[in-house]
Amino acid sequence: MLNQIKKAILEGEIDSVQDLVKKALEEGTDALEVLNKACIPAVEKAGLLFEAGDYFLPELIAAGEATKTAMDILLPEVKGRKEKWKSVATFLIGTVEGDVHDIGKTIVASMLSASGFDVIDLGIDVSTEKFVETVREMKPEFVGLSALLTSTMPKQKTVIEALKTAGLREDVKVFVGGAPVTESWAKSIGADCYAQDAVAAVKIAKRLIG
Amino acid sequence: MRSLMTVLTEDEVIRIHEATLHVLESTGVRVDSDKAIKILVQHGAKADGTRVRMPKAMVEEAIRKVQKEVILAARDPKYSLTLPTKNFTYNATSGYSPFVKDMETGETRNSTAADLKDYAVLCDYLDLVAFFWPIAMPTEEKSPILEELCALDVSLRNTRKHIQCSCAWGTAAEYQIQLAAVVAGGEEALRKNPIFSAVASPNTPLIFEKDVVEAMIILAEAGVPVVPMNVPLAGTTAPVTLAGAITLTNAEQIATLVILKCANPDAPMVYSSDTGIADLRNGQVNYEAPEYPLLAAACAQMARYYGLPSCVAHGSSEVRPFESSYGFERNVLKIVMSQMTRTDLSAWIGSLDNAINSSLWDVVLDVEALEQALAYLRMFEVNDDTLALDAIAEAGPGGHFLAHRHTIKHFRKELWVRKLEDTFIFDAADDLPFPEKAKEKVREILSSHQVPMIDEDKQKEMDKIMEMARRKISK
Ligand code: B12
Repeated sequence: MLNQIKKAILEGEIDSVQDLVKKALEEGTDALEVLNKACIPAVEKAGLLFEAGDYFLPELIAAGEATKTAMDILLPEVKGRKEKWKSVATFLIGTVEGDVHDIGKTIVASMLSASGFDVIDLGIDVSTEKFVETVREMKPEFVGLSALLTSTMPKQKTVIEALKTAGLREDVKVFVGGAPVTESWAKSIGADCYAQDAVAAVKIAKRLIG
Repeated sequence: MRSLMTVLTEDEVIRIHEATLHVLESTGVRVDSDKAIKILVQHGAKADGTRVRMPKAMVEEAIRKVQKEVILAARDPKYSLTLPTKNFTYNATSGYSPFVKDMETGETRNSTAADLKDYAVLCDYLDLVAFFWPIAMPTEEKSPILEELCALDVSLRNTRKHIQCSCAWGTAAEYQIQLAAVVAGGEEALRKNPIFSAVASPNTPLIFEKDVVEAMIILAEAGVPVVPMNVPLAGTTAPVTLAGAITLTNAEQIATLVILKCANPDAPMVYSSDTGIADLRNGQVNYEAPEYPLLAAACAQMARYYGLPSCVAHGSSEVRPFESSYGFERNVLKIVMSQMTRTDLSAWIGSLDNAINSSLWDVVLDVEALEQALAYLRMFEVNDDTLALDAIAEAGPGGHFLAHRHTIKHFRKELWVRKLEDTFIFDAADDLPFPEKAKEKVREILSSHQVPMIDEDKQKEMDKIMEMARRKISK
């Protein structure tokens, strides 16, 4: 059964993953065991296949989504128990105000989500206030700011300054990205990290949480 | 006789058209502007919140109103273009990149209005640049709206050719129209002779952002041709199947046509896309993909089906610099393939790093490559004389044609012969790298070419508009 779940995750079969996980629980398999012996190894395997060039983004992301649906069933079973399952971290992401470029940010969000992060995607043309408010409310570990126009890149700085003013800057690590964004720009505006693509973003974020 | 590239059969064109009607009627588009929704509903669209569905009859009505002819006028009428071209492509610089490679240091840095001026003067000089996209943005401006406005201002002053600029905000549209009207001699003159057209793009899939759609309406009302260049990427923002990506491209183009025609039944439009594919290993745009020219060819066919002029193929190699004639000639062939689609307009010259970067010398190199590409794109006649029956009979089996009258009469026209001094790249005695040779050419042109100035009082009026815009727009 655990192998079947693993296989279904690797094939991104969301529906059958749900059925299989439910069945496993009904048959008395421990939720934590399903997590540790099927879900997590499956996502890790998908990641390895991706790095080796055998898997493409759609497959990687579908595997991540399938895992999430499994988690949705498993987590309530695990919570409240002594052994706690640790979700990786929360990543808040959005494209800054005045900018409607969507895909890059969405790919980063999907990759993070596929890698086990809890992702809050605020979409595009997101006001500075919205970023700050959401940080205050949701207390994410990471904030990602996407900008594809040189004329909207300064908004990345505005958000960072606004987080400082709101006394929230120390609580989050700020990532910046987007085609015209560079490492040196990231440094100059006081961002914590720059990633040139989604794969790098995931790597860096994972490294930061150890 | 001319080499053309088509990928869809006639039946397939019609299927894509029908699929498009289906998408617009059943899925519809998202329109984030009350003003636009109101106009659309008045003309028969069904709105449910921001979701707007366009019934078949309404779409067909818009298609019936397609202009037979679109004029892209120019400050100097000698450079005005009439579309569709039918048989050839007008080429322009690529556009709106935020970086340039510095002529002196070779380093990449933010572009400025001064750079844009150099590009405009250079392209005013180069014959094969038929119209001008502000290739580098004046990034010193304080807002994206001011960038778009300043880009038009600098271009108008420094080239006599038609300008196709970016316009993603209603406010930018208003000021751009004011500026161009000064040069054209009033808003009515601008309507008759639109000396600029505007790229205002739907956001794939199926979204019309408030600012963009309001800009479209303002432009349509003023009679400025709208170029709704969308960028569906198969695999991320568009279906991964080529047929699906073409259908989505087409649906967004035709939805734009409907919007423009509702705003003004005479509104001119250029069917325009940069449909491509996403590299599914990393999600990036893959301009080097073999599917890229195929998608362009299909889009050009769809545009022709509606009688709309097109700006859909922008092929050239992003792999630079050209260190060898191999790389250079590979680019020639990419340009050839792109223009075999018979796109009316193509905007690609001088683009580097997926349209993020640009350089003056790459403009010169691209124009040189285009010159060579045109050899593949010539028209050849098939008639009694060119069929050469007499010559074949006279030479007979085993004879030859080398010094035949027929050969002497035709070879200079039929075969691509250039004077050696016409190309500065391959035949120069020195062996400087291509980019260095091209840089010399750029310096030569910029130091000698004078673009006639706009009348002084008109310039003063333009100054006033720019001042007012800079005062009012801060964000
Ligand atoms: C597609 C596209 C559009 C589409 C967007 C559709 C959509 N659904 O998103 C449309 C047509 C709507 C559009 C509109 C415009 N665009 Co545009 N667009 C592009 C294009 C061709 C590709 C962008 C893209 O999707 N790339 C694919 C993704 C996967 O790559 P990516 O975004 O770079 O993201 C990767 C990394 O950067 C990174 N990343 C991205 N975000 C983040 C965030 C974080 C936190 C991290 C860590 C990493 C990260 O990871 C991603 C995945 O690997 C670029 C050219 C380019 N080379 O980028 C121009 C480009 C960005 N656009 C440009 C322009 C000028 C515009 C317009 C003003 C023009 C117009 N008239 O339409 C408008 C602006 C509208 C607005 N208000 O924002 C210019 C910008 C120039 C400048 N001054 O900065 C560019 C460079 C092209 C050009 N030279 O004209 N555009």
